[in-house]
Amino acid sequence: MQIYLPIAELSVNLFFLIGTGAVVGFLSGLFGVGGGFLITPLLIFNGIPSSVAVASVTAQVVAASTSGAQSYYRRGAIDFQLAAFLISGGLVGSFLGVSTFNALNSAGQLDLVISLSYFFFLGGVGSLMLVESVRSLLRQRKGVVRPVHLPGQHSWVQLLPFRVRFKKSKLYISVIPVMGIGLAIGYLGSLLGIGGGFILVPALVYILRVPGNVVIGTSLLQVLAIMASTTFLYAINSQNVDIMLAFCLMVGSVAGAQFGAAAGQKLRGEQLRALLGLIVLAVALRFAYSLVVAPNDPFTLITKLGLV
Amino acid sequence: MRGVVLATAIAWLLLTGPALPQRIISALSDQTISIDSNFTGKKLTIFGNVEPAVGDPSLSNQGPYDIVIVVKGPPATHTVREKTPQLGIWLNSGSEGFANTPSYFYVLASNELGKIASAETLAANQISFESVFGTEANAANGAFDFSGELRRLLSKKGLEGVDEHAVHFLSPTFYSTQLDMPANVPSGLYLVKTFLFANGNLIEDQPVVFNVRTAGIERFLENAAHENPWIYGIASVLLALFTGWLGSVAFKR
Repeated sequence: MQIYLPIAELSVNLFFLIGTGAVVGFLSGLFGVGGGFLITPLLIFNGIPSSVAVASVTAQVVAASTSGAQSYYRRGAIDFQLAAFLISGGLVGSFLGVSTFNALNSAGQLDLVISLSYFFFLGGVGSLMLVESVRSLLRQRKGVVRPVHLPGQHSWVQLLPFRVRFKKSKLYISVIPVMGIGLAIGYLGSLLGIGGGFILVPALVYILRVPGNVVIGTSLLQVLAIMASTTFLYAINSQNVDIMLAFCLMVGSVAGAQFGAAAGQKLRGEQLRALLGLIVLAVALRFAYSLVVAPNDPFTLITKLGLV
Repeated sequence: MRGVVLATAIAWLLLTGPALPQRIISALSDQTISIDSNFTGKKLTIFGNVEPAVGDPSLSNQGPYDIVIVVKGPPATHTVREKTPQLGIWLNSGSEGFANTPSYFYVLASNELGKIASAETLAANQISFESVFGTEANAANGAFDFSGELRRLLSKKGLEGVDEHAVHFLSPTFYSTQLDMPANVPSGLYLVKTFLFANGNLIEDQPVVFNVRTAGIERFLENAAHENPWIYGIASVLLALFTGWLGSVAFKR
């Protein structure tokens, strides 16, 4: 069954959209990530213009992270104070990201920058995940039991001024790295159409030493707020949020996430991370392929209605 | 031919007015084409009749006739970009913009265009692709000339074409043809210009218009996104929040 997407201005199979949402939702439930970094590439590889794909997926990520954030909120697992500082940095980042996106789009280099960023970014993160999880799997096989070891805070984080006490996270740290992390994630997320949870969580754990009981809930809240602001910015600036597209993805992913979360409890953390690392790497390689291999048609046409 | 003579004779008898050359009366099967959620394209019938000359016998009997129909979509800016490999990566390196050109351009004729009229006459009446998309001017002042590529890409999308045997005469004066509108037609106002030729001379041209527009919820969303972007943005965020909330309530994660 075809459905016409009014902003993308093309017809797509409805079951493809809901199915994509469901599969990615399943994976996101399984791994505890938002899934934007999978949906956006899948849409681009299937012919949705990257400008519409990025902007619409931000709306889908809002729905996915709302679902997640709510269950963490019920358990009281969100540090609102920390989230507020992250979000204030993130809002600036999302504003910058949307501006960069629009500038690249009018210069005709958006696809290139998106492909390159996805390749380097997902390639790096995927390799790290894979190496780290394979190492710990091997260690377990050898029977070496190493305690989960979190060294004291990095000296440079400790030295920064403007320190604030975060009661829920039991931290007394400078707000500069907090807002900086928020800004970086907001920028990347809005430019690439990803929530960024899969980078934000490690950043909060390893750089800021946010305790495990609040880190996911807090990161979900940050992703929710930033993606909501990004959706809004895209809607008013470039008018490329296709709500029909976003809604089909939301429906699929919100449902799929439930089954993924249930399946995730049967797999071990290291296995999950190795699997996620593989998927992330595969997406990175797919982008590399599209950059290196000669396109079927080196010429592309973009038509914009209206008199100049 | 006898039909024309007869019709002319009848008109001659019935009407006593100022002298008028042949006229064409043209019509379309649809005034509006609605793009709804399951739109897969549409065939539009264009038909008409060559009305006999009135009042001046020297103007009558100019047949046989040739008909050329030019269909132009709403104005647009086309940008053709070329990817070339640089340092092993394929990236957009050259581009050419075609501003204020039709988003859809189709020429339907009853005979080969070269046999209907001279190239100058066709160009003067904007019947050829080159005369509408301004190839010569662009080639002169730009490093790139992508008009050939533009034509190829448009025609690949079914948005450009020439069919020299599409217009059929069902009688010496009554003609009819079909226009294929693909699923991806741009929405807006379309101009259908019918040209009547006889013996290489343009006798008359006549414009009619039709409208292509999205219908239903698609139309509503498209308008909202472009005309009320603030409301559309807020509504999008609220819809996402609500869907997410509904999901977490429904599944009680």
